[in-house]
Amino acid sequence: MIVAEPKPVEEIKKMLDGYDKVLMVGCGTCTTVCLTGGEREVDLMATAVRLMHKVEGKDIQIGQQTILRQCDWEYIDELQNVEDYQAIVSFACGAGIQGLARRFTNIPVMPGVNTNFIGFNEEYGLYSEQCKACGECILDKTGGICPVARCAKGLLNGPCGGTNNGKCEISSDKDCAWVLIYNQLEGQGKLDQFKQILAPKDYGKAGNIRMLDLRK
Amino acid sequence: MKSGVSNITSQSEAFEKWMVENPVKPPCTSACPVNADIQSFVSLVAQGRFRESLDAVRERCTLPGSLGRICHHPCEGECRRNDVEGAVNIRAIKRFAADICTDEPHYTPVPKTQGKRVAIVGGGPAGLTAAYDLAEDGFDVTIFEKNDACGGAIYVGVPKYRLPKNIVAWDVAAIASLGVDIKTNTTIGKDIQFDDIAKDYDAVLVAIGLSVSRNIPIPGHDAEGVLLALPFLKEANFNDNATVGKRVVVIGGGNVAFDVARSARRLGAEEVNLCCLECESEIPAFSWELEEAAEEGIKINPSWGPKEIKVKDDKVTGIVFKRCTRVFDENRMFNPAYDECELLEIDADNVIMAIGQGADMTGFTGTSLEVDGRGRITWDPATLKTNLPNVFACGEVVTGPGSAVAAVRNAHHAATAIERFLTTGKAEAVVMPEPIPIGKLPDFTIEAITRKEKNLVPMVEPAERVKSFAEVEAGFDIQTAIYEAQRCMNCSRGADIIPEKCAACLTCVRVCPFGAPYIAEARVANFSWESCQACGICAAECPGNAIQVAFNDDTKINEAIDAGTSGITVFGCQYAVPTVKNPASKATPAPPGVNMVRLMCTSRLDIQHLLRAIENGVDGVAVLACPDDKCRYRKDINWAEVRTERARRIIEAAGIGADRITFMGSPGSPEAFDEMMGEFKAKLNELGANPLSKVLVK
Repeated sequence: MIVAEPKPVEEIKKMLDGYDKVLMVGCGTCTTVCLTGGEREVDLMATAVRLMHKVEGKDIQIGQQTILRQCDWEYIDELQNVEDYQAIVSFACGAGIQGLARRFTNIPVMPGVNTNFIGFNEEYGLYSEQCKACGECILDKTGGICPVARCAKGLLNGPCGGTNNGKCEISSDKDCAWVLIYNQLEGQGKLDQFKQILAPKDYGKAGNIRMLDLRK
Repeated sequence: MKSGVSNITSQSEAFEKWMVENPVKPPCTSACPVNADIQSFVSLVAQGRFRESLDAVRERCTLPGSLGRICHHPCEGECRRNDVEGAVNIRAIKRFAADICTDEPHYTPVPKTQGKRVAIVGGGPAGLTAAYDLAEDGFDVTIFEKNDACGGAIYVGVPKYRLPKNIVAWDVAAIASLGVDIKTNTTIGKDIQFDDIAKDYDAVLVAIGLSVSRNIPIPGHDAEGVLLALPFLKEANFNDNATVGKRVVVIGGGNVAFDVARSARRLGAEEVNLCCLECESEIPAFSWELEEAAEEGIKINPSWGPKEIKVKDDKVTGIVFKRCTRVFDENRMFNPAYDECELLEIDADNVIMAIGQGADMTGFTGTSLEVDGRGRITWDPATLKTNLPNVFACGEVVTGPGSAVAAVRNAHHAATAIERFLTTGKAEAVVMPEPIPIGKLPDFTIEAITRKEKNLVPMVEPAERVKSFAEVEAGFDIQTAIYEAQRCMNCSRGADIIPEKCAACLTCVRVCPFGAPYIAEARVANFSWESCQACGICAAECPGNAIQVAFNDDTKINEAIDAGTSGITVFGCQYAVPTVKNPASKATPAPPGVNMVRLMCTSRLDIQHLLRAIENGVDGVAVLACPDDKCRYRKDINWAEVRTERARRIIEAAGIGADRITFMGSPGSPEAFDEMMGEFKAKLNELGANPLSKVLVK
């Protein structure tokens, strides 16, 4: 799933300076699951922003709605009375935030979260990055462990000289992805795969303004 | 209604609503003959809210002081804590709730808004219970009682060492205080005629119980020294000069027989033999009666049937028994068989018959009330009606012998029938809703539950017991009662999912220490009520706000938070409640300016709760840490502290000052709590007023 983290409430408050009627929109999928943009978090941020305004002696009306996904028109269209608001804060990932911005072009849409990565839910509240969405998956060659996302340098042929007893030189609490790959392949009896040099990737596939049309 | 349930008009409606809204009940409530809301009154004791607990007990257990002593407590037999380390001592908690409040005022009379009069013949547990329900419903109720006080069998028959008579009187006074008119020393057929009552009252309930002891027509049964159980027990209860011979034989194996035998010991009998038809495993008395009787030196002789009473000069000298080889036949019908060759002779000064009771129908002879060939009232168990259009019957007189609490159940049933008859004009079958008990605790949940040893009720030593009729069982002191009440696991009052909000994110599955949540087939979370301990961690963590906790729902918590608009609001779990200062008060008193918000467990604490209190304008908010030695929840993360920290960051960012919210230790005593509040107050004074209220409570 897409992993995001809450923005500091001060930052959200600053974005909303000058508005006194705001809609906060939660997303019921990825950001709910990563405890960042579901109904509970929207509730909390709305309370926090309202408190901050109260302290300053200002009134702010904050509407709260949470929809299943903000990256689908049909769900976005379930939002009600959006035109009544001067600004929207979206608690979806970047895709969802832009979904709202595209649907409600007359109303400024602010991000309520920072979208971080495509990750794995390790345990309650702990997420790890697993995928860079590079557009050219090589997991078949690397024992199911992605060096693009999980090697600090994104090396396609590793490890580098910075590997340190299974850890990465950047931090002793980060595994060296290439040691993980080695161990995985060894366990599968496929160390010969490790010796094959991977060709440079086509980073064009990871470029900007990507579209995907499966209808063709 | 004392319970304050709005737009509910009758006792029966309140009970039915409670049952129907969620028929799944904890096993204690399911096993309880009156289906009492046991968790509620236990939890109120756990929180130090004793008077509220007593009121909650009385809703169904209408005689809390008496039933708190003599109820045979089937609730405890089904308590799921039996699978952990021992049942919650529910009966002792109920007794505590009554005893601690004996100096509290009773109720004010309920206005008689119904404009209809109900006569109740017989002021025993059944009659009193029906009076309670009907008076609460606004009927004008009169009890006609032949004895000098109400209570029936528990007043006349149950010995004082089990149930002191002032306790019965206190229970009766509570019911009388609702506006019930009690006419004692009033015998039907002598002081007042039954047909007149049936004519003068809109409805009549006959609840006269079984007040006549039976004799056995064996040779010698009418000799001097042969006594009957109930007159004997009455003497023992009310005649300070009552005596009995040195050698006593009691015939019978029921609870009354044991009451007789144990009373005889207290009256000075040195040798008491109890003989009954049943073999040891079939003796109908409760197991603890057998144990306590044996401790008091009573010899129990199972499988003996009385053959003849030895008489000399018209006086009893002994009794001969024959071996009883069978009590019930293959159809489970009472049909004893004997071996006349095996005999037992016991010398005796007194033989006391305790083989059962019948109804005293003398006052009804020649009235229009129909009685069958065996002298029993003609009665329909569905409508509880007799042959007369406005006359109902309940309790042992129609159900046969049973426990006091069973009579109370039947009386609730009768009160419902009468209330509906008087409201609609029709006597229809009344079906009492039956609860569905939740299942057993799974093994993995038992593993995760913190052990809390059961407290037993202190008993007077046997050698001391037999010297007098002083009560043999002591009640709990405050601390023990609170501790014992805190052992309740609140079965079935835990988490429930709102499916349309669930994102199947697994958060609840991961944070629950008891393995209660699981992802159901429809890809939404669900909860095993068998496992849930109602701590509320999941509800406060669910990112979709998709979980509600029955016992600690947000509406109730928010109401408690909103009671505080200045001063300090304190959040604490029920275990962090400081020692009670004023035992019989409605709630544990907090220092002035402190609003206590009690949660089942502080893991239920939501950041929103903290911010709500701040937004209400209080000067400060304190969260009491869990007293680990008392907590029965397992927590791998200190959720309350984590959430307090985030709330602090938010109010700091808002310019309110992080230090207005504090996480503090668990106070061990009310004095320590006062001191902690004093220190926090001093700190808040330095901070000045909450910018949201601009008024500081000094």
